[in-house]
Amino acid sequence: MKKWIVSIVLIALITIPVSCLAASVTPQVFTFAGHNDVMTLDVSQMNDEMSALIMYALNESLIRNSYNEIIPGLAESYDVSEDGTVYTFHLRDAKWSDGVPVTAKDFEYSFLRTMNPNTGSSQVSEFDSILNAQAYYNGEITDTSLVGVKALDDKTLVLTLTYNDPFFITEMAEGINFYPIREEYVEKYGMSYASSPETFIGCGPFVLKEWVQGARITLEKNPEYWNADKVKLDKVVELIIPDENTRVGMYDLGEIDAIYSISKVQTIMHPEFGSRSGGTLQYLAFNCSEGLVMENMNLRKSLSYAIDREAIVAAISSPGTISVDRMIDPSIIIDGKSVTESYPNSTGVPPSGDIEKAKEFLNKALSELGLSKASDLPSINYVCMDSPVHKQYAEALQAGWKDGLGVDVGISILPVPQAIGALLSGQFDIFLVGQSSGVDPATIMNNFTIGNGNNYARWNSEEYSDLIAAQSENPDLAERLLQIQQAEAIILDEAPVAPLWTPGTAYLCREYVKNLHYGRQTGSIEFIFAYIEN
Amino acid sequence: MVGYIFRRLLISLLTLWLLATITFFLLRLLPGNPFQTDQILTFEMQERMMNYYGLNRPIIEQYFTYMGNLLQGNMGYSLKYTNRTVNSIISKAFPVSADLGLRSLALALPIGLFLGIASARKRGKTVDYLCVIISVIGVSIPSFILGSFLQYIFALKLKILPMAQWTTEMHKVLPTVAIALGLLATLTRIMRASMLEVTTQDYVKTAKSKGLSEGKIVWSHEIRNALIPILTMMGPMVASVLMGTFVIEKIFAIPGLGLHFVNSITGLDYTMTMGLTVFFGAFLVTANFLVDIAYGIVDPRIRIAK
Repeated sequence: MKKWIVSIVLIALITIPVSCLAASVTPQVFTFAGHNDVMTLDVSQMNDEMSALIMYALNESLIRNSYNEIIPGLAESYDVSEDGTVYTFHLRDAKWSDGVPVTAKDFEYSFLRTMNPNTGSSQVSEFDSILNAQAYYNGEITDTSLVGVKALDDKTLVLTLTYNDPFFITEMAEGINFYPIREEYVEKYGMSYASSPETFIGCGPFVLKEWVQGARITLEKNPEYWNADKVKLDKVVELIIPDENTRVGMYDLGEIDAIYSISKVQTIMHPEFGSRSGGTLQYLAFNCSEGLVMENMNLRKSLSYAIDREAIVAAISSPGTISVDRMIDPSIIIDGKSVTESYPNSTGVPPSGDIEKAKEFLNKALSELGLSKASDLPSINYVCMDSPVHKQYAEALQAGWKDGLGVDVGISILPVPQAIGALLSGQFDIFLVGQSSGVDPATIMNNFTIGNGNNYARWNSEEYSDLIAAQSENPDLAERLLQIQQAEAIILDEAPVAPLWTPGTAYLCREYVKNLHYGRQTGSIEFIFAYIEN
Repeated sequence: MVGYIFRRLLISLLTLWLLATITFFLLRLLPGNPFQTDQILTFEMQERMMNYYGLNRPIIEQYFTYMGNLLQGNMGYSLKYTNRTVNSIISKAFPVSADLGLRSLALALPIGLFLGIASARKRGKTVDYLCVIISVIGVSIPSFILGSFLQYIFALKLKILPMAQWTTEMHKVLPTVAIALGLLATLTRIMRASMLEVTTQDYVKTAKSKGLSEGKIVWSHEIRNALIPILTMMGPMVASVLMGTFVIEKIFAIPGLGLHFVNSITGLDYTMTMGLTVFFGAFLVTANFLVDIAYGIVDPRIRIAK
């Protein structure tokens, strides 16, 4: 009997410290909630945030954008030719998650596959600065050896550009379609490639373990990853929870560690939220087509001056939203400095509007149109996308114009595809456009040239178009930025568009999750180097 | 009987063909195209995508291509979930919705019928009022309120049941109850009304005057006849419940068909909407067919074998 007691005590003495030790090590598991399933893991087809966010963890491109810095990915280094048109990438020794080495051929195959007209990718324009890429994806040439993508050997990839594009490396680091693809997987699974864990393979920090479509995605650390030492999480789970109240409820219960986008209402209940801005710019496009009411520049300026952006942002926008007065996103950094700081420009409209100036412009417009009062103006049609925030914006803007100027603006709310259809076919007077602001400061401004299919405002300025054309192939970056600044001054002065704000995103994350980052590449959370604190 | 089934089968196929055809053309009448999303693609890129998916070809040609594929059971690839076929999406999501639907039916059917019968038998008494109150509440509370309310009480406050997802048996309790309550209420109301109507029928009076026992009258004369209206509504009810409910599936994050129904239409995912419509149509037609056969079993007057 005594022996029993002694042995029990002994066992207890040995096991208790061991179990205490085991309990003190926090499992490195990170769980977050997304609102929609991954659309596809096919690198060539991918064009949505959900997919980009998961692909960022499952795969590895030549270079990465991490914590807003360009860091090496599978390319150990790269050289640029003197004229800036030939980029030679030197690959490191890296393996796919099944242990097969990654070669330059995998990149060559992936890039050419995306550009191939038979792939049906909507992302081909990502490769526009590569030699003959446009000719190939438009079907003008079929010989891929003419395209500026070449694997010299297993470790060397050469990309040839049409001109010296100073933004190429940054665009590549922030792009979501520059990952390698294993050809044999595409050959084997055809159209169903990358639609399940069996049909997909990556070479990134994590491996796709489970994909319950519409419900859950489980990733596990990839031991074959070249930089595996830096990856601390063992497992990442994304739960797909379409309803926001449910997501927040699960966060409150401690079932999930982070939600990467929450609405303004939820931020009131969760003051610990974080926020970020940039990457997208929202502006009003006025339809300047001949014969339409918005053809009148003074009327456009009048409406622009009457907008109290500050009040609207405070009342409606998600936290982090910053009101802007120009067509360049202030979050674009060149040489460590915001472009908007280095190259100032403004519409001159103060953040809270200037109703006196707006009235002056309105009076000018009315006399030009031969009208005596604002109510004589022809009907103005604001086409609004059917989303809660867009509807609130439309109503706030409408009320501002009515109260401040007495101008009546009618709102037509249309489902997203129809609304975009109206925008592209010019069946609107005013439209709130949100556009990704890209890496090149002129990304959005490039649209408004004469004859451009995406010149939503249908505004024609030769001087502006010439400047945009001149800057686009100017190898001298400083000169290029000056030309962009000059072009911007013209568009801001003639006001075919009224810049509004860069929308923010509010997110929730538990304090014990460290090193989580809101990245520019995915427009969403980057968790590859995150860890759970004890 | 064989002739009847054959005739019904032909009519069903005709119905499905009409359904598919009308949906096909109605969908194309909607303005816009699937590639106009809030991440605005350039005009050229949209044309490219329309060409790639053959959506720029003459509509009649597209119609025949689609119908040809449909006849072989191939519903094509989703335009949004690229790389996934509509068949594979349905085959993954339908079992989930059907599981949830069957659970709710299994819960709602016996309770609903029992409450309906009890209520009719005790007409004007406390039991009746209770049942009427339950059914009015069940019918009038929208499922999104009920779902959120259940989540709030049992998951957030009491912490005895999980909030959402469709994994363990415990996860399935709340959504099942949320759907079942609405069904139960409808069933109770119809069963009650139907029972009350049957009680005044001549054959019940005859049975009473013959001196049959109360239990025998209720069981083999009243309930059996009162079930016919229930059977009539069972076809569409079963079909719609098994097809998933948008709201409950959204609130409880259940990967069923419900979300696909709504999202595919708002996103103009033509192939997905078509696939779901045809699938739902086929299911509904089958359910109604089974109900027609069941009539004969319950009610000898509607024997179909003539």
